[in-house]
Amino acid sequence: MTVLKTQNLTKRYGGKAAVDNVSLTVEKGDIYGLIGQNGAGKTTLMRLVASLARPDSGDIELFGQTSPAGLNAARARMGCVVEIPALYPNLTAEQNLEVYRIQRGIPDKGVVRQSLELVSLTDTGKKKFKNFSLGMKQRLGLALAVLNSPDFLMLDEPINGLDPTGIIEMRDLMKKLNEQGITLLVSSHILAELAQISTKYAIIHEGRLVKNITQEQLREECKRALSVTVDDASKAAVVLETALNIRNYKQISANELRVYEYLDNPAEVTFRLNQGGVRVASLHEVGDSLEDYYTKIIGGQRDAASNEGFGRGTEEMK
Amino acid sequence: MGKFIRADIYRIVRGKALYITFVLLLALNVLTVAIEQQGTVGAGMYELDEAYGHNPAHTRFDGIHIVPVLYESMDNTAYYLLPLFILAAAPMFSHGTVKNTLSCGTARTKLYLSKLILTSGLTVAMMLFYLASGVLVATIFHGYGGTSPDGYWLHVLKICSAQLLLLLALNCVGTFLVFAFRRTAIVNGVYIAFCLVPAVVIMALTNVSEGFVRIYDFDLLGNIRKFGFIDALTAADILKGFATGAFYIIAPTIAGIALFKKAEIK
Repeated sequence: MTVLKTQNLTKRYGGKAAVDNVSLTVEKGDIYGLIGQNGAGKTTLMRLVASLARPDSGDIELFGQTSPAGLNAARARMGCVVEIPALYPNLTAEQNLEVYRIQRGIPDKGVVRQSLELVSLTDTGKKKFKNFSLGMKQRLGLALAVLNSPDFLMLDEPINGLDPTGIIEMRDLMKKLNEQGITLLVSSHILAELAQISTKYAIIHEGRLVKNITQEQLREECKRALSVTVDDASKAAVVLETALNIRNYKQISANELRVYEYLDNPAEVTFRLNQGGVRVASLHEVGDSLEDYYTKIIGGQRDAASNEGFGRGTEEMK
Repeated sequence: MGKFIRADIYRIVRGKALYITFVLLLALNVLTVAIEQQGTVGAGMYELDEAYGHNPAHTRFDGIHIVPVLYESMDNTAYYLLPLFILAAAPMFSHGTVKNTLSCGTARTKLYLSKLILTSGLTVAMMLFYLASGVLVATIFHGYGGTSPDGYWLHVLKICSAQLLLLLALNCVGTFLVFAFRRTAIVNGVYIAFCLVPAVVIMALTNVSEGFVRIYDFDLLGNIRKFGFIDALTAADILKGFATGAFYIIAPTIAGIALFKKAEIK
């Protein structure tokens, strides 16, 4: 079931596209990581979905609803924290949530306590929101977002400003909510931060969605391996299995193999393949760290943009 | 819409601003009684006494006789409306909490109208408190004043009802300003200018030509003052006053909703 679908969504500010033809689909049960640098358009995209801004063009479908009235009704099934959590500074955590419990017409007064328990903020007593640390504010923002038991949560940089313990707690909390059946769209400017929980990723750069990738595909992309180009990949596979007892490999094409073993001894692989009558055209190590992968994607986009915009070559940019 | 209003009331009664506003209003009444005690008798005092066959020479500013002074200076309460609509509507913009409300699918028109109803309720409460506290303070200083003349309270009700309509119109202007400008400092400045500038401009224009004095018929605060002397007004004057009130209720509300529906929320 599709929770959120955007189709060619575009939002311009002063002629510059903050969100440029973005089409993405969030399925039920996903933890969808929206990755991009500061100013890439992540927050604007979320603001469009949350009806805080109006798109210049494109469509939004939320829980199957596309009409303005239908979207408003669907948004009642959504919880979100866009930018920094916004609450009343002179009220306590409990009072802040009580305001929204009344406003959202939730009859059960116990939800305030339950939400605070979920984010471990039950012991803040009379401390006012203005005196909360950033981590506490983030957690209270999340408590507010889950107050009305949403089916879909949209969190904008929820890990921002948290200490390492806070990051782990927030990740665990997001996992826990997902296990309870809540679909999440979470933005961050650091891919590695979401890598442990997200099931899908969208990399957004200068308003454009430049990469849509699943967790499995990302792992595959980032897995370190020996890329071997040969004259006959099938024959090479037989040699690898018989001569080196290698089982962990993948045939990419008729001439290319990825070998996930013997990374510390590529010469042995070359020798055995030659011995088995396979001609090796090239052999090199491939695979990135998450950061390298992300930088490569963004870097590629930068180069493309500079080629389009300024007529400068990639080499020049490097 | 009721749940939005209830949520705002929950928030407002937990803050200090509402109580400070009402304490200041009380202080204004104490000052009024103190000043009037020193001999500055309000014009309406005589008018009322003459109308009801009393001798102004025997006037004391007791609980009953302070009432005309209060409604004659009702236009002063315009400035006490400012903290009320700022308190009710501005925090959602200044603290960004409007995002929490709109992202849950709240219709913007509904949110605007809920704020307008809330600020209108606060306006009525403020006016009642102003009158009741004025009578109370005068009674504490000078006693209640015995029996009121026949039809006295009906007369007071007539004046105050007419003035209330104009105060509600002023509240609509203020609420519009909050939604239009969102920043408290700008709203304060524009609202105070709206209250003060028309009278000054009209006064300056009348120096050019006496004919410009007619503009004064459509000044909101001027009409609140004039309604304090409602018995001395012609039917046409009263009609102009009500028409002014109706205009300032309808126009800012329509403009405010239209503006808010298109607004980007930061």
